[in-house]
Amino acid sequence: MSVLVCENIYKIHKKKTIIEDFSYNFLENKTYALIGRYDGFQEELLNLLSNKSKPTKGKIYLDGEIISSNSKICYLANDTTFPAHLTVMQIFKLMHSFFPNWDTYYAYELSQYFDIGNKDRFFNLSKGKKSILIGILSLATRASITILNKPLEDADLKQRYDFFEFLYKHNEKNPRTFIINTTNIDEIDFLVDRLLLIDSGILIDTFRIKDMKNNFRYLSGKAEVLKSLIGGVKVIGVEERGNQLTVCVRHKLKKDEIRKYQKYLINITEVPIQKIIIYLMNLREIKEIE
Amino acid sequence: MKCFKLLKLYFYGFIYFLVALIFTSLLLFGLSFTEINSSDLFLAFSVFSFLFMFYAGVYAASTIKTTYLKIKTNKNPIFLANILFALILTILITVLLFSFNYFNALSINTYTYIVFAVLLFGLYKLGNFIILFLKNTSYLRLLTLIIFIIAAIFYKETITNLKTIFNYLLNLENILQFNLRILLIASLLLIINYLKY
Repeated sequence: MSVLVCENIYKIHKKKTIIEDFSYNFLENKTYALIGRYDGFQEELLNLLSNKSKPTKGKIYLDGEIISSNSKICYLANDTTFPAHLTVMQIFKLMHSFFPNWDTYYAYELSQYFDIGNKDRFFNLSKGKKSILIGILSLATRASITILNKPLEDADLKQRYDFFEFLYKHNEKNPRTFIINTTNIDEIDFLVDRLLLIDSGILIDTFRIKDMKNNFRYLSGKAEVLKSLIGGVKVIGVEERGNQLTVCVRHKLKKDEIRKYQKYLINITEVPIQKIIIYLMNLREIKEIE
Repeated sequence: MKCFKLLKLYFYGFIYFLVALIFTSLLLFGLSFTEINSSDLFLAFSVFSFLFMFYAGVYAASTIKTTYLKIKTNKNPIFLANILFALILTILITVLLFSFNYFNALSINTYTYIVFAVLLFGLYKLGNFIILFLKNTSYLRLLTLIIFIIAAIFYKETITNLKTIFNYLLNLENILQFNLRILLIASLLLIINYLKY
């Protein structure tokens, strides 16, 4: 169990600021998701958090000490490679010598589930299977802080769903801190405790997933009816399809409000986290333009 | 101690290299019982070992180092493991050369083994150096192919030149001075490699 503290981190590369004044405490046994516009800045942040790159300014502490290379952090980037002729079994043995908490049995179990043979050679694995293997390796290290960058990017939907189920169950058994950079938050929202919205290397806001699920609602119905009802309500997103209007409101609806909307045949549904993020980013863009 | 654990990565990574080394040694050892001149076989084995060490250095700095740094971030263990592995390979090849000469009763000065060992280590470090500074290995393959083609076309001249070089190495008068020079270059490469690793 470890705590990762970032204090005013800056990363400047070729006179360009990639990370700007990033401060955040990653607490033990919590799962964090990084999300935002895809510009590669999140990857640089992951490199900083895993000590693969040094910040230009600011400090990162792991359990109260300035971060250094150790087996408490595991970050296997998607482009992690092994000598092409190595078999999956040999890769597991290697990982065991790098990470003391390595769980060989779990790694075998997962590789069997995902149809990766122990004797399969690394260069024979398809792109999808390589990304699954990297995901399996990350989980089986049981490092106190496990960082995943767009996990199983090249795998299919079913494999991703299964992998995240495994991740959830494994996290229940062996609690630890996960930091996941993702472009599809909806598929991992059941795992995540906190969400960090990052844009152009700046931490814009942080959210608790529970709060997001409770405080945002979709209202949809006939455009003219809905428009007359939502006066004074904080709307963050609007989608109009023909005569049908859908608005996303940032407001915890009370019982009488729900009754009022239902009376006018307005549908009230939960908003996918992904959509909320898109609306918030749109609002930010509009504010910037103004 | 971490660097000893890392030797496992080197062992797995170099498994085919090691198989090739053992296979070639056995082949040359077997050929020495035929009518082929033993000193020619010694020359062939030496050329093979020098090339082997150079490419082992290239492979270690490109593939093994990349794999390690994708998993861990501390460069010290991989650097130490790299030196340790280079020394193991150097000793192994020198012992093979020694046993080859022992069984074929070639009159080779004991100091020559030291020259060979130092050269082997130096070539390994040169391989490391080239990759660390030029990074791209694709041109190396092409270059090797061109060198082999030229050597094959002018095979008579190549063999004569190689023999001259080996005769020079075998009959070195100032061995100490020669070794010191090679060691100095290897140490210099080692320091530069450390900074770049």
